[in-house]
Amino acid sequence: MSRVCKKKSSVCTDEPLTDDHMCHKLAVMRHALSSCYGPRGRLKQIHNNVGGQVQITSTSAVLLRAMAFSEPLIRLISAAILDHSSRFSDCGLFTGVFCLGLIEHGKRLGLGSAVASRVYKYLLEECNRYLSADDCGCKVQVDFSSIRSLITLAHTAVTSKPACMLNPEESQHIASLIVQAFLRSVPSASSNIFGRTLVVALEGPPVSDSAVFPGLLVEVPILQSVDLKNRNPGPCKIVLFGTSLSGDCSEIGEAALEIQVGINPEKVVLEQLLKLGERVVQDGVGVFACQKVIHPVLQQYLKERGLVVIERLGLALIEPIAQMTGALIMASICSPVPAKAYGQLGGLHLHRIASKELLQLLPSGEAAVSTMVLCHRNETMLEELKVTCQRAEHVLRLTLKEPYALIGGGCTETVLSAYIKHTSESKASEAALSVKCSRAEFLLATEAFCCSLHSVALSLDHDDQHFLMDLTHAHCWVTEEDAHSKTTTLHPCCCGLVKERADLEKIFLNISQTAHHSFLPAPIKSDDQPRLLDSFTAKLNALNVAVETANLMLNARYIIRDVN
Amino acid sequence: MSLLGSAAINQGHHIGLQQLEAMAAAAHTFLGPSKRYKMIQDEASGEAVLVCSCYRLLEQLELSGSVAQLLRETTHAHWGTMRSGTASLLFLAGVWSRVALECLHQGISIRHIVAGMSKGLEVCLEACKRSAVNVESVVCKADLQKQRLRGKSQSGGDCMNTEDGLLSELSLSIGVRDLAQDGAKTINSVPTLCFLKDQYPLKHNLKLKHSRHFNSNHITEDGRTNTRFDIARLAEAVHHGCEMTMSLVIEASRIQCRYSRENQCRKALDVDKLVTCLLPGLSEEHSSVLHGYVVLLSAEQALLVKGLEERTLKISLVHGDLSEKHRHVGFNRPKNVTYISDCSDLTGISREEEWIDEALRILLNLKVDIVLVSGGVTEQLKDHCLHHHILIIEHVRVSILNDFATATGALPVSYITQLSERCVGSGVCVKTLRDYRSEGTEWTLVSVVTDGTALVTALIAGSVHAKLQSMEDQFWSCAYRVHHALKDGKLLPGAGTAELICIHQLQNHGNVSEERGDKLDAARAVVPYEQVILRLMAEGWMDYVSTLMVNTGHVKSKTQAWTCIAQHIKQWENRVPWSNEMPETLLKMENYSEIMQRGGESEEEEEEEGMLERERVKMGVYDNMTVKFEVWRRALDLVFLILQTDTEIVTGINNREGQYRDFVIL
Repeated sequence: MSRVCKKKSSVCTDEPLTDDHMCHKLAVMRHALSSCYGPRGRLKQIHNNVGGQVQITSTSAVLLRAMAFSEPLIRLISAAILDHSSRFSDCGLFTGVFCLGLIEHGKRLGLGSAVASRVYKYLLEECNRYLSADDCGCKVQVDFSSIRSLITLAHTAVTSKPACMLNPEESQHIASLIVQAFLRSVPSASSNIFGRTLVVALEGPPVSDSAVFPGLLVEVPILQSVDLKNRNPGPCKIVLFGTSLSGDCSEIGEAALEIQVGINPEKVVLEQLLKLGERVVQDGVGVFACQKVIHPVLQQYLKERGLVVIERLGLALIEPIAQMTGALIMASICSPVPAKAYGQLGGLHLHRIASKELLQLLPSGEAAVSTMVLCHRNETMLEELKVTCQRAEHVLRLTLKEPYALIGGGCTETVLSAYIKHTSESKASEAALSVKCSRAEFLLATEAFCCSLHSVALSLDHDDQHFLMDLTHAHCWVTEEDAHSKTTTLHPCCCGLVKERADLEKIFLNISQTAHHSFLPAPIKSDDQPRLLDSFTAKLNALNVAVETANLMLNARYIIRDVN
Repeated sequence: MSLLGSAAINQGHHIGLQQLEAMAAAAHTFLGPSKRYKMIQDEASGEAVLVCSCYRLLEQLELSGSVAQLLRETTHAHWGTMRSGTASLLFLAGVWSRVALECLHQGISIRHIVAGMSKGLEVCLEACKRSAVNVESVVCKADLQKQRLRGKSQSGGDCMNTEDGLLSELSLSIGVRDLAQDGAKTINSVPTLCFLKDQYPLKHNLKLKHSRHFNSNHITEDGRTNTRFDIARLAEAVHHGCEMTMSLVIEASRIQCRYSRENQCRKALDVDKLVTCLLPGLSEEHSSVLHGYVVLLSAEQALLVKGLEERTLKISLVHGDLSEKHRHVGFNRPKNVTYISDCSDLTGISREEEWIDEALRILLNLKVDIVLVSGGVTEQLKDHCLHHHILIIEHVRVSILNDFATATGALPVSYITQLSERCVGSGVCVKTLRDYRSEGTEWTLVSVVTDGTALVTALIAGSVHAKLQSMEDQFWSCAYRVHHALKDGKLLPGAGTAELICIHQLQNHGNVSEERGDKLDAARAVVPYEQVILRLMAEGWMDYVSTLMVNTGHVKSKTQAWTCIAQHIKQWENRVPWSNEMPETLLKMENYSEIMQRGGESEEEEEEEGMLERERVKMGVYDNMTVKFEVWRRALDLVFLILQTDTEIVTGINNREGQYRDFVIL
């Protein structure tokens, strides 16, 4: 009997967004994502029902990957955000908050789903056009002749995650390390293969002990310490094996074996391994590395003849080593190693950090592989720091394709919303015609769009601060609630570009209304550099993904679920 | 079909912090040198465990909940590297959660709390760093004091005339003040002291030299003079009440220095080479420290050892099990194997027997006398070896194997067939020590030593079986305290003094900025909450010190402790105008720490012991700098993590479970 109970028919829900229950869940989701946003965001604690590790994070990728959703619409958003994060690393939270904001504000203002989605699409094209133009007010060119913009980008990425718990010196140090690692990985004129940076995380030492090393660091278990004293320093050959050299017949798997008594298959395999080892020694190889386990007899044989033996490299390290040394990964022990499969190493060095021994493999030429050793006092903070550093490096890499950055701190969102509001009002009639809706509906949808942008900027507020927008440049400002505002210090705007002036008129950023006259944000004529920068490519794509996902959800008429 | 979803609940910051505060309540009695044991009973099985440290307490309690798990991970990580201070960690985490809760209650926003408390911690760390004293000066001061005391007692009835006695005392006290004023200065007043040395023959060979390192010459039994740092004084400074256990550590250090090679032993104590061996059933006086690797062996093996005692033995080392079936880690045995054979192939000897014969042959050929195995050994092989006078010791820790490898030149192998001439080491001696009876079986303590090793085994004996774990932990705590003191080179004044400095700093932080003028006015105006937070943190420290004082038994109640502390701080302020010269106040702190140390001694006892006390040097209590700073930082990290977490997300729940009814299911 293939079924014990009757098969239930599928459940169909129509107009899912009109359901209050659903809207409540979307609101919870939006609150969860927006409460993580920014350097003063709140952290989320994730653990499994049955126990296991507790994760504390505010990174969207980590958060959403750990959660399993049962609501289809929420799964849709989560998948969109995760897809964006996997390609661009940054602005995952922005995507979520903006997308859910579009849906919520549209509903609040009474917009029809179809109309809303068409207008949003139109406005998105306007945004893309504005942001790609040369005179965009929120775009900054990344100047590669000085590292200032790069450090600002890295610093913004690092400080945006409070779970790392870095004090100002430590975040500066980490930002400089990230830029160092990035610059090392950029290929020189001769080669066009991009390098990479691997991260080794060590728990215990203070953050200031973190450093970047050229080449690769391999963890050597203390019990098998490598003896480098007898080696002569200098370049040497390396051979890499991807298959297991433990002397077993693991490739056979579950197949049945029939062995004649008197034949010992292990001995035969061991003989083959030793033959291989003999050949490798004859060829003058200095380092013998294997992704998996090496048989102790083979290890002893090689060590006695002065080779450095590294086993259990793991999948994550074998590829970078192959790339760095030019070695080919051998997949079989039966055929002899051809001469071109050997790679070249520049040298070996042993480091001891935090009671762990790390063997440094130096490249022979100018290989673009480097390793960043990250230290922190606490495992939770270390995990978050690791993810943050990888994110920041990805952001820097994106600038190579499009050398622009967007001003951070919420200023981009306010400038963009001011611009959109202005252009929509000036072109309202023609736009409404092309989108096939009334002028009033068009303006309403624009308001929803701008409110959503403001809500992203307002997500930076977690502590009852007042967020303001000025009516000249449309930048975002923060004031303290309990400030004795007779201070003589002048605070610039959130991103740092606009200095405080007496004639700057400001209004409160309120998500429920954008009641101000539309104006075109005036360009800023100053040579100052903003102190907060976000990735241009990532945010542009985030904007697109958010609007497209929102449109998809608005246009979803039925949800059909199989409840078996 | 059950839908696995995630549920989220928006918990106020309160819950996590309140949980932390509640869990920290268990740490009260573990604070200070006189810890009270706790018994934890498992209701289901009825078993009970005795614990004496917060780490073991959290390990045994198995609390559920994410905050509890975080706490356990933090204490575990701290214990792994530092081995002491977990009680302070837990207590401070609780106290600072209370500070955070109070701030939240007063409406201070979270980012201000984080900024304020970080600032408070930085202020405390700075102040304590300034007041740290060098290890050398601590040791020197103690020796000088001892000399002074000896001078006092001798001048009473000896042939020394009083003039000399007075002169020496004056110069000695100048010397002491000199040291106290600048803790980092070396012994510059040496000329006077050298003069003293000739006048007062010292009981132990103590030479003061013009050098940065305080050298002491030990004349050992075989006439070798070793110039090594004598950690006895240092150990006295950090024993925190565990005098007996600390004496084991001192002995271990002496043995290590005596036996390690000249070019190797740079440190006075190598904690990596310390091993413990527990002996339940014997009374505590039998605890001792021995050179080499000490292990319990059965009667037959002990007989064998007696036969091997006089010779120098050859040794081989094996990683893993010594059996035919053993394969190295990472070897995947094929699962589906059948062996086929013709009848004529059967010889009647199993593979196992063949293997045993082979192994024995190899061992006999290479003339190996002793084999150390990290895993288990086949019974038959053990018997055969016994007959052939080969000693096999199994279940040896891998770190010990590696130590023997470096000391004897043996190469550890994974399979016995790998053994060759190169893998066999030499120079090992064995000795039977004593008989030991436990649970009806007779064992013998045997030590395996080789000359070049710094391996030292501490035998920890205790008649109460349940107490043994705590005694072992105590030993490691003492060893690591000395280790960290040597590594840092500095010590913090202990017995709550460092915390008092913190209180003083935090309370006066506001006054400093007042004096500096209006330049900081603006800054201060912007951060009015900072005063509140610093004041609350100072109160937290007061709580810590008062609990410490109550635990030592000197004061009867917490309120009494608070008054005492407040008085002391006021005294300092009256005597010392606010300046940055912390060492001056150190002298005053000495009086304070003396009060702390004396504990519950009554006045009559003091008079009786008056004579003896003058002989005994008041060493002073000191704490490790790194350990203390790590404890403070980790506690604050934990509080910040929980403070800034606002939502708990539980994954993998079934929709129908009632437990999560209050949660929102996504």
